[in-house]
Amino acid sequence: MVTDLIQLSNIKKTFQTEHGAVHALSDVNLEIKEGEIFGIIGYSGAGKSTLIRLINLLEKPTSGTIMIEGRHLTDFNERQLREERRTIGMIFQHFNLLWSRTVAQNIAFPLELTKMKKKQRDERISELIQMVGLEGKESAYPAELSGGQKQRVGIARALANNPKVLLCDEATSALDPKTTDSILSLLSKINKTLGLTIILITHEMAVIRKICDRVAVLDKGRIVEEGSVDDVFAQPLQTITQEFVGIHQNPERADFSEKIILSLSAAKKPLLQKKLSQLLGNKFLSVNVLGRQSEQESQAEKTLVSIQGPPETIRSVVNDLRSERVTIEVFESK
Amino acid sequence: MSEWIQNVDWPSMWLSTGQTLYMTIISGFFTFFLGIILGLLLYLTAKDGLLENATVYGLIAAFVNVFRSIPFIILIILLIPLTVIIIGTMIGASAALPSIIIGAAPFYARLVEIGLREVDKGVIEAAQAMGATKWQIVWKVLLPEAIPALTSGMTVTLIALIGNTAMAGVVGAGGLGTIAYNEGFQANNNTITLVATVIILVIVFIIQYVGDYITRRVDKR
Repeated sequence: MVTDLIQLSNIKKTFQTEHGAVHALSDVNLEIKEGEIFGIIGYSGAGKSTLIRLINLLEKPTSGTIMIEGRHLTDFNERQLREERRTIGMIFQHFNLLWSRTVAQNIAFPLELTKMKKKQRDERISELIQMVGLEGKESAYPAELSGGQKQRVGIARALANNPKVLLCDEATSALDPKTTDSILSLLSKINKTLGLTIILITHEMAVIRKICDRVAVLDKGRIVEEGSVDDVFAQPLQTITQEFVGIHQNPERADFSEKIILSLSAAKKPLLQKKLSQLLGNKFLSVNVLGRQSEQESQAEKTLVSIQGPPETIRSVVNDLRSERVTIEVFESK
Repeated sequence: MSEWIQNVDWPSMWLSTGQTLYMTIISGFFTFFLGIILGLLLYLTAKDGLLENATVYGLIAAFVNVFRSIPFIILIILLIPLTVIIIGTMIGASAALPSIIIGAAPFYARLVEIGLREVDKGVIEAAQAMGATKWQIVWKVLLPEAIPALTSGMTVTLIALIGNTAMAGVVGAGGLGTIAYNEGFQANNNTITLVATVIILVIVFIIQYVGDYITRRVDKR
């Protein structure tokens, strides 16, 4: 039976600002199982960073409890909390390495905190360097490394004290897609070989798709959907999840029915005319031009059209127009 | 040229140079430590600092601001009683030390505080996440990461401090300031004033060069 390693119950986090209280998180309940890779996805400002920082209590919850292995982290005193944090690794979007230390010295940092003997420490460092594939870079300074290499140092540092969980705070958001893939593969390998539980936050669905077992969708400080990645992908229930999955790619979240009225405008007349004639030539749709309006100054021309036809065709036409440099407004969708 | 050089009493010129260097090195040493301690306290007790404490911050900030604002020539006079207690006399190079240090340390403290503020907050957060104590954060993160700012700040402070040793010379501290004023200006021997000035300039240039060199070497960014 898989047990819950981490349990967040009824978490609420409120920040007091000059403009009043800001509710960063409300009613957050999460169970994270041992050995899984759990992803939390949300837009920026959804509360992801706050949520992941609650797990090692870098942020204190306004109310609610955080349990690790059945112990209440929220009841710990400062010394107990420090001890506990040594078993929770964390990596960051901007790596947060000490630039005054070499790669090996950066990895040594958490080992120095636990007062490990120099000889043991050196052995552990070379193990870790090998694990993350940084052989030969031991005495390089972070400034001499690429983004991907810096994150590898971050991972080695986070793993130094054999943590039971690894927190990843947008760990690949500052990296290019190829490097992102290599870092995700490394995380996945570590998860499998060490059985390490990984919790990550991201705004990229690709990250969730690639390595996560389960996912929670965070929207405006609330978890709106949660489940295994496969289930959530197969049947996203919430609009925001559908957006992440990519079903709803139109930004206005409009549902199209059989008849809509659109206003089209484009900075360049020929482009608009080309698009209009394409629309009129579409044999599945009945399109009527209702009127035109020229704006002298901007040379932009607005055209009002009514479109009638199967909803899927309308949707694809609208999406196509949006992807070109045509501005459209949907006036009526009933 | 040789006549020009004969106007200068070289043994006493070198003696004065030695006194200036003595005042610079000893007060530089104390300024460095006092400045780092005060700067650290300012940084740590400031709002949202690791040891946030409005009272301590207010007291240190007031001390720093007051002693940084008093013109040095007035500070020397104000500190005569303190100097007599610490050094036992108010004349000579050693007697200049308390006022030079108290004049320069608050200046350096502010530079230290600025340098510490530039340390990446993310790195401090990372250290906290790894379970570092506040003391470990100070020793292993804040000070090492701020070293380039600490050395460049010390270079600026040392140069300002040399100016103060010359001013202290006018009120009997000895050194190049005394010789330039007494034997140069008052005895109407411009050569001496000029030579003393050139020696001070050479010392300043050397400090600037060495300081820049060290700052470049320790900066791994």
